[in-house]
Amino acid sequence: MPPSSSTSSSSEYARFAWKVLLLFALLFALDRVGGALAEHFFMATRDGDTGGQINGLLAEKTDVLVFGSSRAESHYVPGVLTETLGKPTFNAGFKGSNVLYDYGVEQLVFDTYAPKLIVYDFSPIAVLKPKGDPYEKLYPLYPFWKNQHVWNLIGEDGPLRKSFFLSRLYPYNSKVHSIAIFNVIKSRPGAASGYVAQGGTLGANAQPGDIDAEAESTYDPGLVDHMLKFIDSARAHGVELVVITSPRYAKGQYTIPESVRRKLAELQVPHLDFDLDEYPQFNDPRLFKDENHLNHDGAKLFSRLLGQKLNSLGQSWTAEATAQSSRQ
Amino acid sequence: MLFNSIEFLFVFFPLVTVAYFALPHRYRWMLLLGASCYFYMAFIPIYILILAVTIVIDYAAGIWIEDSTGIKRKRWLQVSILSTCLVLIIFKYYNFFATDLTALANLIGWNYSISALHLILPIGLSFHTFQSLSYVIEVYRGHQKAERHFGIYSLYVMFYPQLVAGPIERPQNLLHQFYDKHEFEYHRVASGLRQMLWGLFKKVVVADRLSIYVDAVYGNVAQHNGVTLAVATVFFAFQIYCDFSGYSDMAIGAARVMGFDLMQNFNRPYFSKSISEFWKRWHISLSTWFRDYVYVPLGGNRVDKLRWYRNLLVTFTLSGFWHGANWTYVIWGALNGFFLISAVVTEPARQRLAQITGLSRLPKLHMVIKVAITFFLTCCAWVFFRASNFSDAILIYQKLLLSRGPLFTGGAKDLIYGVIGIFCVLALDYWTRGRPFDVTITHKNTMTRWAVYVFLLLGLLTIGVFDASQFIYFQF
Repeated sequence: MPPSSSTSSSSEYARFAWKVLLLFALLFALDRVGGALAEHFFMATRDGDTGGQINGLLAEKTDVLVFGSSRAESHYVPGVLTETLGKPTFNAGFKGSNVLYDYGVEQLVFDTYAPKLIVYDFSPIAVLKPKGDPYEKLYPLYPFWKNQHVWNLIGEDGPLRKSFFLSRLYPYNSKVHSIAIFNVIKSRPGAASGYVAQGGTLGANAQPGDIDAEAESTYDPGLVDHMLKFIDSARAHGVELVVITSPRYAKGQYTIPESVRRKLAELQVPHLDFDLDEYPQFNDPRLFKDENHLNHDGAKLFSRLLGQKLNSLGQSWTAEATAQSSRQ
Repeated sequence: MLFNSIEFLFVFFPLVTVAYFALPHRYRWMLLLGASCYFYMAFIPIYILILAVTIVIDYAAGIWIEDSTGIKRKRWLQVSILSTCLVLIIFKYYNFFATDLTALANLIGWNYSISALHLILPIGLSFHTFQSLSYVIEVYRGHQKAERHFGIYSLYVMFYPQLVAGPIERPQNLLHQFYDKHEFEYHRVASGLRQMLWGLFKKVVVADRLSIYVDAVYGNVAQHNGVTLAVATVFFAFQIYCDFSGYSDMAIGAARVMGFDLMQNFNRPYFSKSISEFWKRWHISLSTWFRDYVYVPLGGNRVDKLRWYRNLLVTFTLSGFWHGANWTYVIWGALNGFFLISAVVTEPARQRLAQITGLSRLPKLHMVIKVAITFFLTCCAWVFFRASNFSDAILIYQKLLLSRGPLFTGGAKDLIYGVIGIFCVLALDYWTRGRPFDVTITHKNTMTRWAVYVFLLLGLLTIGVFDASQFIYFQF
């Protein structure tokens, strides 16, 4: 006798529920195992643009740390700075990042150790209103989600983002290649200090462009707020901070958001702008890869000059030394 | 609401599906209609009124066409087509015509300007208007009885799985399904979910990954060389395929879970051996729409050669125009029409060439060459489809021919995962050999099936792009 419609239907439901449960159990197990393996191999990496670099800087525990986006990443040569300053330096700059990433990395550093000096390379891109979700920039920090500061930062993007972390594999999303490459061929030469050299030059006859001043309204209040937190946090941990606007092959100056400018003045944080008028040695297109980025030769020249400048501010980079220097 | 969003996958879809099977059959249309309204209003709520207007007009027109005779039938059909097209013209094409007419007037020294309308294009407008048009035309032709149940007719236009990006269904296929009672069947539900999973993989793992590279290159054409533009164009070919076929798979899968069968919209288009075959495999629901309602009424291929060529060119140019109010889409459509005409004209010469070179005796190699040439021609046309404007498209062609240099790698990971994604899609397309993904999978043993599920799910977690980006075809 054929089963009745309701019996048949409930057996179909039960079969479906059982299969779904089984699939989820299998997926859960594989996710845990895969996540544990990914974590193990990721934490062994010391290089790469997907978070491995953060392991490198946490392991090195250098006295001087450089923060910022692509201009930071390719303008500050740690070897030259180390030599000039007499203090080990690590370049924590990361191409395409914004201040959320900088703040997250800073918190990870402070949970490990306190460096002596933070050099923050200011680019408006770090705080400009973004086209997409600015929290997407946190993805290199996802493997560090267990850190409370990082977790809070991820949580600012809303509860949905946090729900992704039910998976242990998700924090390593888009990092598999990086983990595999590092664990097979180890670090790229020179990458252990975070610096990424740029090749190529602007044409010999290239003329400097003009920098359009950013209007205050183009800055994202949330990002600006995190920049203020970044500055406060450095000071709260007793770390000296210097804000730098590194050279660009263009006339004019970047505009720092008003509240950040006030905060820097209030805390007497020095701000050095290497614009073309004040530093004519950079009025040379052969030192630039493009208008916004120095090539390796330009970066070496800039790093040496910066090291000397920082030394002239005073060995301990204190506010008094800054004030003294400006009085002289 | 996007098919690749958490809200849809973990809240809307499961809730609607569970409620659908929990409700008695006579109330299900109400649930689906309510859910579809909610789904549409998640984009721009007020635009539901546009949909309501076209639904009311075409519903009434359908009944009047059926109840009338002689010239009155034709008049009702014309009223319906005109009013539906009017919505399309106002929201989609008005600014295009206004800008071009103003430019033309200026060119002949006539100081005449038409002010632009500042309207946001309702999502999926071209899809549901074409579905409405197909209903009134089929009623007029007598192939479909006019739907008297207003709720069911509204559901035919608004059925959420295919409301915003198709497949563009025919009333003969879809309307009667709303009257059928669908029981919960394990095989059908599993098959629908499999199709959805494959669609989600194509969208999240392949299309969205490729889009990062394509956007970076096509967003700044002047800064890139020919090699980079060639790679970006190939990536775009797969991006749009995975984006749109991914959406279609999810739509078909979501409908199938509830017991509805929607038409297949893609069938391994990049394995086509000719442009004509490509259009039988790409966006099938739109191609057949233009075939049935434009190409055949124009005379199709049962006319003299010149008129046949004209019919091909008109149909494909219109198809390009359907995609967007921009000359780049029109040229893209016309280019495809030109390729088809060229294929017809050169066929005897190509056959002779195959015999002279001996290719006709090597069918497999001949097939590979044909597939490669078809893909190359398709990519040439995609340049116009993707370029922001006409001058960008021309610049891209110039650079493709003349500019050499190193490949732009951007974030190297996007290149690496993009290539892996393309490989996965081609491999699975080859493996399925033209059958829908879920049909192929169903016939495999349990181990293979589960291995594929796990591969796709872990792929989503490890290399998926989770920024819930919009589907390209929504803008049409």
